[in-house]
Amino acid sequence: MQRELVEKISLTQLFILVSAFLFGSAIVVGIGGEAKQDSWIAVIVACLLSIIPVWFYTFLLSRIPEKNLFEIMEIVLGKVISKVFILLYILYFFYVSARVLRDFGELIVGDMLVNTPIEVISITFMLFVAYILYLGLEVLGRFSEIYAPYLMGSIFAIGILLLFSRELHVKNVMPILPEGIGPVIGTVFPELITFPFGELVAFMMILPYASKVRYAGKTTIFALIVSGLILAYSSFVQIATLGPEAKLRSKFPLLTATGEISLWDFIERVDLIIIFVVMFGILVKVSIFFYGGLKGLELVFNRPYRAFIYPMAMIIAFMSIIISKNFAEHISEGISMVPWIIHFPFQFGIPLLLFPFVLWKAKVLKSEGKKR
Amino acid sequence: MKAMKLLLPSLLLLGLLSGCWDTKELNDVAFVTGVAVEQGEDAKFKVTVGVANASQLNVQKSEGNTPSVTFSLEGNSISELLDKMNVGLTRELRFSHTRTLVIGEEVAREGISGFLDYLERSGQFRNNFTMLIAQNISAADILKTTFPIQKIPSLKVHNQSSTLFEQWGGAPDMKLSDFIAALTSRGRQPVAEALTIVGTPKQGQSVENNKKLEPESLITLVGLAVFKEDKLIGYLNLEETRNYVWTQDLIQTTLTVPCGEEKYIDVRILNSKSTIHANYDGETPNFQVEIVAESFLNGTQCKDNLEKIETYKKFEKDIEEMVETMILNTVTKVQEEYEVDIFGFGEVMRRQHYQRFEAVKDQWDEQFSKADIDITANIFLRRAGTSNKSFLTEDE
Amino acid sequence: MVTIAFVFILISSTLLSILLDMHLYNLSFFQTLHFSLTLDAGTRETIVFTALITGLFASFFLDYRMSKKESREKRS
Repeated sequence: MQRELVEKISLTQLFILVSAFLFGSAIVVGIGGEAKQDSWIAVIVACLLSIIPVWFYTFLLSRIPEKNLFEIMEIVLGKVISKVFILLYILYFFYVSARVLRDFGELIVGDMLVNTPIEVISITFMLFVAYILYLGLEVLGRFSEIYAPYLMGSIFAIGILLLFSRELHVKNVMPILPEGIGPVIGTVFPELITFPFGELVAFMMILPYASKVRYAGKTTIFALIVSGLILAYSSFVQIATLGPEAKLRSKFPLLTATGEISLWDFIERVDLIIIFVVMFGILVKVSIFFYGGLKGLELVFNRPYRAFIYPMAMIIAFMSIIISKNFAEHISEGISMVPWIIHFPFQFGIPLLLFPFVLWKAKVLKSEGKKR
Repeated sequence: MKAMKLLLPSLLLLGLLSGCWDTKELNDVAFVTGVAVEQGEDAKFKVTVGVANASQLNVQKSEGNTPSVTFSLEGNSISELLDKMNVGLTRELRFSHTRTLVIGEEVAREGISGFLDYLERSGQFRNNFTMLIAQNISAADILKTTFPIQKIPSLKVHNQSSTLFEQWGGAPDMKLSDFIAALTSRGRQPVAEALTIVGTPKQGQSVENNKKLEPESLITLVGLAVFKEDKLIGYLNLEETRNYVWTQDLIQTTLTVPCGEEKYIDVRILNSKSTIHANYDGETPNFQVEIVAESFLNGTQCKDNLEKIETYKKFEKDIEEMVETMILNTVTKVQEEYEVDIFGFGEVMRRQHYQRFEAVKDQWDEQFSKADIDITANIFLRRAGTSNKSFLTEDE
Repeated sequence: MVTIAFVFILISSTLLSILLDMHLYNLSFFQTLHFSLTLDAGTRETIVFTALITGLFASFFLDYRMSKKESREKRS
């Protein structure tokens, strides 16, 4: 009765997914604010540094081809031990997607739809995500392909509109690096490298489904650099418009900056563009984390992942609310604990741990292949 | 089973309705165009809102009634009062189109950061409205003084000040966000536009005022209100305001420069740029303000021959001298009288000599008041309107 | 199976958030448990609780359907 799932995405789609994934919540919550007027430099530095882990992820995947992270774990660590790790990863993916969803909910409720319960936003959003993933990864890819031009277009348009509204003060960005590279490094580790760049670990679940796997790694790194630059550009626009203090003070700096656009008393109040951009980014981000988790469930519980979609979507909606009682808790959790306790082990710890095993197993498989 | 299959999607469709949670029909809301805050008689603040009467703005449907209604309440917090305005008004108020915030003099002298926080925090207010200080009059009267051409008072004031800024530079381009940025910055103190009413405020409060050729009362801009932190400490007049704006980002202005005894030339200044260089000379900071501008000659009362290069050179020199002394006088006045750095010289110092500024940033205003300021103007007189020689020029 | 996964993920993710909250608020485990799971009755958080219960029922239903399908396949 159910149609067969197409689980292939083209390289263009992969590129767009990676970039939308990186913009996702990073473009809303304003990253690297601690580096004051140099936060755009911090973003570039973090982006360049995170080429290393991303290259490492693709290297791991290339050792045992056409298998995703969880399948590799199963091959390398054996059925029982791998299950423990996979379950941990599932938890991680679900937890992060709940956090991302909460970011979005806070944006909508805090700024646009003040009377709407954040719970309803979470649930409707998850229903949408569930529907997309029910139709398969390819639908997500094609969906992003359609919307990506608008995303890129509006991000650039914002900078240009701000420039013409005479709100872009380059002097706000000066002085460059007055206290040396210290504060920049301080924000790169651990904040920027784990969020948003390190979260690309979720793509270890997607990369094997790219149509030309050989180029998937290169595409990801290319997308990483491009979106790193765009994030830096957006960060630059935010600082130049608002100044470092106001940027740090604002909950959603890009939104505040967009509010400054006013051209000929005609082009005004374009904040809604930002909400649209953010909605798309968050959608991709939640979907990919969710998909990663679902794939894990498929492996552990031995049922097609589509069966899990609706119940798990509801769990994520539930978690996004239960995670924190209020915005202050949400933010302080995100700054003080999540990078260290949650992000680091899953983004760098476990992959590094896997590394020697994967090398060894790859060798074994190769020699077995030769024997045959 | 079939019923179930129909029921489920229709239940899911209900989810779409959640988009209507915050819905408000246009005829349920009223747009606030201006907010005035002043000292209350019984409580901390008296807040007045000016609400647009949209039907009167339509040329065809207008019945000659008032284009804007005001209402005042007293209380201790702006936010509560704004939500409580329905004590006297019918519709839900929307603040996204607010264009002016008028602050009474007494409130400004006591400090305004208390309610600025609300305005910045609230998602409803855009940050791009004009901040105004009502000098010598009740702030609420600003929202009540009609004007025949731009019917809503608060929009009139907004247009007035932005046009003055663009045409002559007599108003600072100071939006709420700029004000807060100046407030938080260590190297700059905020300013705001000051305004008052000429005539009798009472007479202006009726549409009848619009029927007079010379309005009985009229809102006029008077210059600049100077702040120290969030407290008003004094005013600059219009001329000085223009000089202040010239050190920031002047668009264009007109100067009257003496060219002989009781004789003047009028010069239109365009395309002006000012760059500031900061330096430390031992313990005293010094600043070189460099002004480069192009200019046209609008008119002359002198007999000099405008076809000669020497005349242009002489005029250029006259203009430069005048600009230099004029701006220097304004800066010195602020240095001596108010001792606050409204020009943002501290920010320039921070940008160019970060370490030195960091060392003195807590006493920056003292540093500013002893700073040496040097103004160099470089004005190019390009052309002189559509005629060559003036008819005043006598042939030799 | 779906039900087991549902219950497992629900419990463990709640545990995760409780562990984080324990650190953040400096409370003991049971205090945090109580604190996080009371769900502020009467607030709009109940909406999401309802959604969760529909998820639970959906997983019952899915399990039932899958087991039926399996048994049918075995018979044939």
